Amino acid sequence: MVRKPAQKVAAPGRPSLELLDTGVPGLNEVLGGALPALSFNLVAGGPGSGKTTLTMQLLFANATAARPGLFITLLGETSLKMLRYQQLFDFFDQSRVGSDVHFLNLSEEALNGDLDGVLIRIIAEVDRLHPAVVVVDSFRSLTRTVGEAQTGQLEHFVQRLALHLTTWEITSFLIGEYSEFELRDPIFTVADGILWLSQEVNRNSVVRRLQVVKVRGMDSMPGLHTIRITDGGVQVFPRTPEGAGEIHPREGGRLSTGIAGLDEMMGGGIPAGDSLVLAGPTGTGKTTFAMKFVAAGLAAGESAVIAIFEEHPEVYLQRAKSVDVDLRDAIRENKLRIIYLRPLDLSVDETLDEIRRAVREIAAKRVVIDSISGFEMALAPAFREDFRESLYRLIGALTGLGVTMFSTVEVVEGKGDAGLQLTGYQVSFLTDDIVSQRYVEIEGELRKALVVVKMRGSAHSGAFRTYEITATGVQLGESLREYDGIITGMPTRQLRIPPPRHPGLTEQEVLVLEMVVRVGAMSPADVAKQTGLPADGIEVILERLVQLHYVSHKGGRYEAESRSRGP
Amino acid sequence: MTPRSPAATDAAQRLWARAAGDSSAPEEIAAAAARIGNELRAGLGRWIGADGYRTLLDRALGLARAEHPALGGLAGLGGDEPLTTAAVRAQGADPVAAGLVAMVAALVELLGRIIGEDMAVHLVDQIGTPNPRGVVSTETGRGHDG
Repeated sequence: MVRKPAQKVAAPGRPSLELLDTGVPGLNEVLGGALPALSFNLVAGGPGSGKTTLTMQLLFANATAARPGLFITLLGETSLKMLRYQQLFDFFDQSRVGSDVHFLNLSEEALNGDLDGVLIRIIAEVDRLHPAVVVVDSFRSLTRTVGEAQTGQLEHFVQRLALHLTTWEITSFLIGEYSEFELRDPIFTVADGILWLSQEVNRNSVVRRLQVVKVRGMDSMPGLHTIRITDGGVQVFPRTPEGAGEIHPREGGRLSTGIAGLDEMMGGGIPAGDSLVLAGPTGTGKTTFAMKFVAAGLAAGESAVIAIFEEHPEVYLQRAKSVDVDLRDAIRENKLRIIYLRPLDLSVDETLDEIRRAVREIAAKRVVIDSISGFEMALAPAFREDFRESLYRLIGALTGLGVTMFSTVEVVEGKGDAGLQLTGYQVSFLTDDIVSQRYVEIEGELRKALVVVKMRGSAHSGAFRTYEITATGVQLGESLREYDGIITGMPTRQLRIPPPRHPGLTEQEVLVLEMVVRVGAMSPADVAKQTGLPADGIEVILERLVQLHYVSHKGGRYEAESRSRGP
Repeated sequence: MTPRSPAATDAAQRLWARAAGDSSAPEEIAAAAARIGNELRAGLGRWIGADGYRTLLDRALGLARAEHPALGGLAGLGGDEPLTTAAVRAQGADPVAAGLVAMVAALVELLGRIIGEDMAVHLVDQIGTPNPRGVVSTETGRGHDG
């Protein structure tokens, strides 16, 4: 594939910069758009960090018959060995070797330390081929061969090489195995761009990263970006900075959880664009809740993405069916994507990239992460250290796309844990809404209960309600208003049952009444929008509240009466 | 006798046909052998250097000599000294031509063990083939526009 040169848009009155599409997924973004054409670059890093593959990919992406690519081997991996392995990558097109992409082995000249000879051969080859891109591998070995005593000669060589390549209108890359304490090497001064690749081994995980140390003329993305080498070559996963993701305006309205009764507890469902965390101990049905959330979206014609980290998708689908949620049709119809990520060297940015791609491809409105705990386990140890910060970026980036997120997290209930401590991650600041599940002992029986802990900017019920997981999903049970000490797990029944705040009203009527009390004068349409209740039933509810003297009706709007404040 | 792979033999025959055509005159065979030797050295030397090419060629020659005794009596094959017309005449033009094709086929096969047969055939097919930037010179390894 021949890529067209990109043009950097310049400020008025300033010259623009011709850019080179690197052809390496994610790299353009990290570079601030693309790589400046005609730049003289250094690709540095340790062995196995992906230097050769990255430049080879770049070479194939930009080489044409008219302006080919030239890969020069000085020392290190021989051209033939490199060919043996590089041809295994998808980007390597054998038919283009010798026409669009040329190779030249100068190891004999380099071994002799004959810098002039090396330069003469390079210039002759450049003169013959007129390449657009030249890669010299491995430049660091040449430095070692020449030796410290001839540093001046090497400096001279680098300057002349850079000059020749630039005057021939070539974008060039020198590959070298450098370490950080070698930053004083003259080549670092001459280079317009420096890409630093590293490889970190921690226990059984390997993490490769890329850093743009400098790139003249571009506003590159700071930090260490994860890279992965697959059959497709090198892929860079840009480290999305906080707040730098796409921002889509919220559509408004609420999304059903798919669980009868829970939407009412949440004031009408999950506000669109929110991030909800469902926290609970093992076996409380977190995954079932997540499946119901997805099923409700699919039933409403919305696409969804589920990221799972613990179970194989096939097991997950079987489990969904056991609670009356059949997701297979939705997958076939491309309305649902299940992303299964379970390597132990995963990075947050890779996960984000996978989910974001799936969201875009099927225009998903709902995203499930099941579970945050499993996600953390799948990460390489190096990424677990800053997991909270990474999670914050991930949630921000995904809700920025306009999707509504539903994440599950497992909590460990400690003995005598009297608080509403949700997770070890302190997720409350990360999320808009939190629903907490817990086990409670009632009359000698272990029951499951849930409570809506937090709904950002929205009224919600504070009542604990029991629930059961059945063959058809989740059945909410009675409210535990008669009990105290539920959060201890061992509630006690109160002998004095306080009178209901609004005797005789249904849950929906209470919800509507509390909304009118909180907001003030409201039209039926406003009430429907704020509560998420069906619009056609709102007027009936409001008229009943008028009859009971909870609200009054004036000019199409409803206002709270003094009785509505309660006893 | 070790059978050569059909793809390697085909590539060798194509290269030979480009260099020698239908000729069986000893002087034409000697000239074609010199051309092929130079082109292979220049073309494959780009990948493996002169020393690497020499090593590969020696192995290919050893394999071909076992099957083609006519090559046994020839000095200078693949080296700096050109193959002489007299030497070809002494061994017989046809046996020498067949031996040279077998040597190139062995070379392709050895190369194919390292980089895969398809790629090896691709590289040998390109040798001596004009490209938009000119043919690789047989003397210096540099090209000339044309």
